[in-house]
Amino acid sequence: MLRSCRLSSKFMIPISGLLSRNYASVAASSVVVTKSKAGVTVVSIEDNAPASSVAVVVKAGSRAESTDNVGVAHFLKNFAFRNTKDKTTFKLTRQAELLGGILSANLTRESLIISSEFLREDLSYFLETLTDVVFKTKYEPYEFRDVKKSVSFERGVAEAIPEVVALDAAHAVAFRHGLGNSLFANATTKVTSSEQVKAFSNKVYTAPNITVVGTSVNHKELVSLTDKLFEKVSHTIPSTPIPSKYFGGEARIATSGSSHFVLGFEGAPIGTSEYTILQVLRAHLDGETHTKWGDGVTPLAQLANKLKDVQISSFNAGYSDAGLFGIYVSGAPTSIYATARAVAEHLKHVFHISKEDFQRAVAKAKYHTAASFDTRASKIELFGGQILYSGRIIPVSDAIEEFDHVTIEDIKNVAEKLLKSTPTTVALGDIGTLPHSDVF
Amino acid sequence: MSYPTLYNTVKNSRFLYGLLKPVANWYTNIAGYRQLGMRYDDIIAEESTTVEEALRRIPQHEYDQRTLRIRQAYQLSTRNELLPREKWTKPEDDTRYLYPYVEQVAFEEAERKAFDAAKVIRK
Repeated sequence: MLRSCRLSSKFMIPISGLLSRNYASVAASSVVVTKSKAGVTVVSIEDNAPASSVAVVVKAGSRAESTDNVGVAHFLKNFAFRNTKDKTTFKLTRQAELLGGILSANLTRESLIISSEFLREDLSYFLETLTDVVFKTKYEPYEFRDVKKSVSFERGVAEAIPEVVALDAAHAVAFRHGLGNSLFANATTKVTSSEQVKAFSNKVYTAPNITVVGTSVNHKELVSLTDKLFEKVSHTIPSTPIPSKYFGGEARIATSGSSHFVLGFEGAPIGTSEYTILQVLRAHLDGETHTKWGDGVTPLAQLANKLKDVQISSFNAGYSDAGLFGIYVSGAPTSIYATARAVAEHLKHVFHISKEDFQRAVAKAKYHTAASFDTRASKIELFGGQILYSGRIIPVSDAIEEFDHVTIEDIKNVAEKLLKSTPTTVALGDIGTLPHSDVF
Repeated sequence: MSYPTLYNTVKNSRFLYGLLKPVANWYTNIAGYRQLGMRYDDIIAEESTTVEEALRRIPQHEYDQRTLRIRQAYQLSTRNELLPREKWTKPEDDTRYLYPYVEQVAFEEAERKAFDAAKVIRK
């Protein structure tokens, strides 16, 4: 206790100084958006970084899968940089290596991100490579076997991580379809041939579905290259996805080893004011310590510290039209039981939050928001997603400013609303001891 | 695997095609694989990394049928027999199911070699 007192007094002045700063470095990076002649939106972020990147962000995350091709997005992701009509996999890899670039593909619940990182002068080569992947991949049957191996491998790796399994199950319980689809093609996937992957790719690679995002590249050059390379893109307007609906419920998975528990509630879509408020609540509930050897100051951090054998963290997953808010507890099953009860109690009485705690939570939420724009990859994902799903960019400075309007009253209202939704619970591990959802 | 070929020259010239086609047909017949129910691509020498990789790439049903044809031919040849004339492989069935893949693999191998010997010149 003494130590934490000393720490806070010591850093009191610099911290308040930091807070009043206007996030100069973030604000300085300008974001330009242009609709190219080909109908594809081009976003470029000038952050004066020595290395550049460009990515094709496609509305083809796992939520775009339908019941007859569950898992296909994962296959499509792994088909990226396979043989194309003009270049073999080998050539793509070697040329990228010779130019010192990195090619990667990433899948989220909402988008598929095919990206490349490189030195500024190589923009035209790498954008061409990405369009080759989008339009010219051959999807040969023999490649499907290799892709399937890599898909199974990734699934195996993911299934060995309890956090991933628990959060995937939480999404499945909360949303059932769409956002509830697993990111990984699991054993029940109905994708059995490269034709299915090809059909899916034809469906999703259309002009309204694609955004090209560049960081530290010349915007004019990026737009003119996009005009040229995306000339033949299909303009089919994709069918509007089924809006996500929150259901809630319970999943209990028996596994040996450590125990994990997710307690979730209906959150809010990203970009809404409710989401901002939830970010503050998340920071308040977070049970992680942020100083080395520190005890943590939030109520849950102190609880975790007292129980010794649990770890508590909170999450606020925001998507374009829904969200999932909750806490994640792992450790000894009996302690998880006590913790989960305590969290629910705490949420019910969150209006007792002290002014100091509230300010601390706001500061932490601001930091989290600023930090989430930190890397090239996260910028691409965030801005690409914003353009695809809302059609406009929310600058970082605006997102941070939003927090200044949050009041304790808001927190209280949102917490009440949370508790009204059906809880989503996932118990993973020793399900005999872990709590049931009707406890909350 | 690739070798210099005049195939396209011959194919594009009516005169050469008319001249050489009967010879080709005669040669194919005398080669004797059709009389054992095989296709030309069944007798491409399998013992090379190129063809092995190509065989890995062909569709499963093609691979299974190939195995059956080779077994049948082996049986026949041990018994010193030929198939009855109506069961011989018809010219229209004698498709190149494997060769495109062999070419593809050979191209990839050549590409790999070229890259391994590449000199990088930065503009």
